[in-house]
Amino acid sequence: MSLIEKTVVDSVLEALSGSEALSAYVKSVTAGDAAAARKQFPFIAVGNVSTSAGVERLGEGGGGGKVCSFEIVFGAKSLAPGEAFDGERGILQLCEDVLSAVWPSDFGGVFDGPVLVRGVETGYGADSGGSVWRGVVRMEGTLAAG
Amino acid sequence: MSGENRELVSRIYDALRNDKMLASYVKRFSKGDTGAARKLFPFVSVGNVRYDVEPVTTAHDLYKYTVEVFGGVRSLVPGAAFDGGGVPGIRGILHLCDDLAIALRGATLGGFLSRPMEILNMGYEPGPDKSGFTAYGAVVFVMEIMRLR
Repeated sequence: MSLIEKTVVDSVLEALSGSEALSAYVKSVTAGDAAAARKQFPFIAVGNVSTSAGVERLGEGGGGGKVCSFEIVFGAKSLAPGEAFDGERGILQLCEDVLSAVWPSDFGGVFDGPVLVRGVETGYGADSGGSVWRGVVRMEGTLAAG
Repeated sequence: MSGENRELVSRIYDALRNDKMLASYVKRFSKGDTGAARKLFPFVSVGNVRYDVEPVTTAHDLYKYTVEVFGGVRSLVPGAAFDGGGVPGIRGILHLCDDLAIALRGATLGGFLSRPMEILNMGYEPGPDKSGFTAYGAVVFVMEIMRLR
């Protein structure tokens, strides 16, 4: 992971960790550690960071402006049927709370403007010890020059 | 925004439960509970939500949702779980998906949606079962909500 990608991950982690709504019930916020089997639920992990190489922004100022995308994955689990989906701490609420924590934001100037939301998605994940729902928020933005 | 995803799913769930045709034969409605082994058949479950957010003005965002409604039918009569098998009064997965589409297509969920629900696609598949024949289906709906940021 390059220095700029590390900066992006740290900024996203900082935004997530600073959310009062999330800190009330999320048990772990990590970078790149998305193996849900080892997690305490609900969990959040920032990962899949990629920066487009050589895509330079044209126009005023030129230079800088590489596009960086990243994903925030998360999971909720419950023994009660449906609770991990639409419970007060289920995946639907987690989607909202994660998105509210990171959007709209330029992550302290790491990006040159608010990042774009490229999709929020839930998915069912079967588990022997209860029902598990996973979610992902995909984001993309143009890195600030410098 | 807080709780609006749950509100959306809840309104879809209510619309399905309140549909007279579905209520006449569907034995279980649920949200996010896709563990079919625990189901009473026929069942309907609202799940798998996806959305994108597009800023429209400095104060408004457009949320474009895709929501999947999943259903299952089981019968001891071969073929009945799929298309009713020609048995009077038996509704297979083809009927169930049609009924889901009729119940939700064009719905605004009491004005909650900015753009009424439309069908993105429908799909069916057989499901193995020890005590009869099972068929599953899903209807995927798209809808939009304009929200104040």
